[in-house]
Amino acid sequence: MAAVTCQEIRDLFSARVDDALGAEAHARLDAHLATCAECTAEWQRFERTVSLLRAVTPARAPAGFVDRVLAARPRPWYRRLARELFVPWPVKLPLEAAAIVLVAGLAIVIFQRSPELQQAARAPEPPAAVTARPPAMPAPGPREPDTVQGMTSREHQRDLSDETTPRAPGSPPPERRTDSTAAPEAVPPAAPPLESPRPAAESRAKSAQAPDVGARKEADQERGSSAARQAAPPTSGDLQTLEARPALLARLRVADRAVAARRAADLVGRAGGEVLSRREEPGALVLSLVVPEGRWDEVRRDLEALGALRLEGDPGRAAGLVRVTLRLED
Amino acid sequence: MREGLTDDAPLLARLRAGDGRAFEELVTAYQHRVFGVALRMLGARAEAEEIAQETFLRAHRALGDFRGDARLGTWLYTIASRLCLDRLASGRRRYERSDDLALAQAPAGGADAAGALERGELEAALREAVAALPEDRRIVVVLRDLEGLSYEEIAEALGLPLNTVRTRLHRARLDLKAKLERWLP
Repeated sequence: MAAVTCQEIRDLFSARVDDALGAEAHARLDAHLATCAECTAEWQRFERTVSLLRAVTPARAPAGFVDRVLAARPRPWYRRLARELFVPWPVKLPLEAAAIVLVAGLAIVIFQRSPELQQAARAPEPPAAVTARPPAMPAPGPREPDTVQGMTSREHQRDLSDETTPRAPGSPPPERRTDSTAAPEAVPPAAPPLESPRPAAESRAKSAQAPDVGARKEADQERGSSAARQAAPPTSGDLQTLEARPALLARLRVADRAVAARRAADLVGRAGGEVLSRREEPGALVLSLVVPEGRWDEVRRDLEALGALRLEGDPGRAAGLVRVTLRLED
Repeated sequence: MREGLTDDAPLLARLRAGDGRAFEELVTAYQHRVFGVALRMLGARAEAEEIAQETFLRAHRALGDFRGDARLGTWLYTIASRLCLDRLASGRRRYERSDDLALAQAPAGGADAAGALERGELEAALREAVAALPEDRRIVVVLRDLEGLSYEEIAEALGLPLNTVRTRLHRARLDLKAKLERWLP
């Protein structure tokens, strides 16, 4: 074996301490250490240094480190958004639900207390000239039961409420009728039906004999229908529109319909009410009114002063208003 | 490697599938080792935590590029080592040295108080000695003698030839031996 220097031997210490020394180099190191006290002492100090180093207590990450890393981890945009909106969910979800309920409640209250909004939500009344049908036009026969397809809920409600208006005796059967039947257009006022056109001839005969009774039945059915709507999950239209309520029919026999209409409009306006629509019918001028509930008695007395007044049905009330169909007759 | 994972494949598969729990497991498993490397290299706990956190966040972003031909631990050490060396080279040091306070707090009182005090002093001396090493030698001795990586793993983590690793490690140990004369026979 060739002679080796102390430095060459000491260069092997690292590999020796890591057990990475080949057999030949290992033997050479051991042979040298057996004869060199200085290198032996140096080897012991080297080995001790490494063992001290390896005995150092491992460092530990601070508490909460994992959570902080996970929190800092970038998330997809939709998760970040969901986190912003809902976390912590025990706090944010109830708050958001309460906010939705509050806003919905406020919207309902504002709508209820704003007749302007209700009017804006109502479809404009069709002009009389358009809806009027020449009297010579053959009256349509009873319509087959039909669905309400093609008819908006507002039209449907107006249709139902109009049925409380009695029809002239002898007029052709009306086109629109029960909840199970519907016509896409309004009934021509030129030939107002006396009653709803139920297919059953028996029903028509009864109504022709007692038109008022028929009108009351219609009103009763309307109330039942209204009650059913209230029992059902409410919609904004059902809850709020006055049109969903049946109107009180006020028959007023006057000498001059035009003059009476003007006076009626005046007194309704003074009472804080409003004329919603006006239409001509054979032998009658029909006004649709809304009057503040608290002023209705006053308006009624004023109407009695204009002519012979007869009331039929119950006033439809909603949001503190009474809806009245005023029929001015000669 | 100290407490090395025996088989990374199942965890790696879950990580690549975007399993959030898998990433949490990875951080939990390697947090102390990554933090330890950063602390020995930088000396300040706050800075070490910052670097350790950045290590995991970079790993999270780069999971799709990780080929899996190295162990997950080695890969994390690679990222942490480079971040530490970059920080040291940048001169952007905002933290005072705080080392590992847990090591400095020797238990007080009791029959072994003297021995504990001596151990505390020894560990403080060791930390000082390691901290005084040149950075290129310090990272090698930290990875080898404190974290237990093999020569090959260190060479891979640092992108160095194997002989360079051996040389730097040997010189680092000789430097430490010279600084620890008081504690040696």
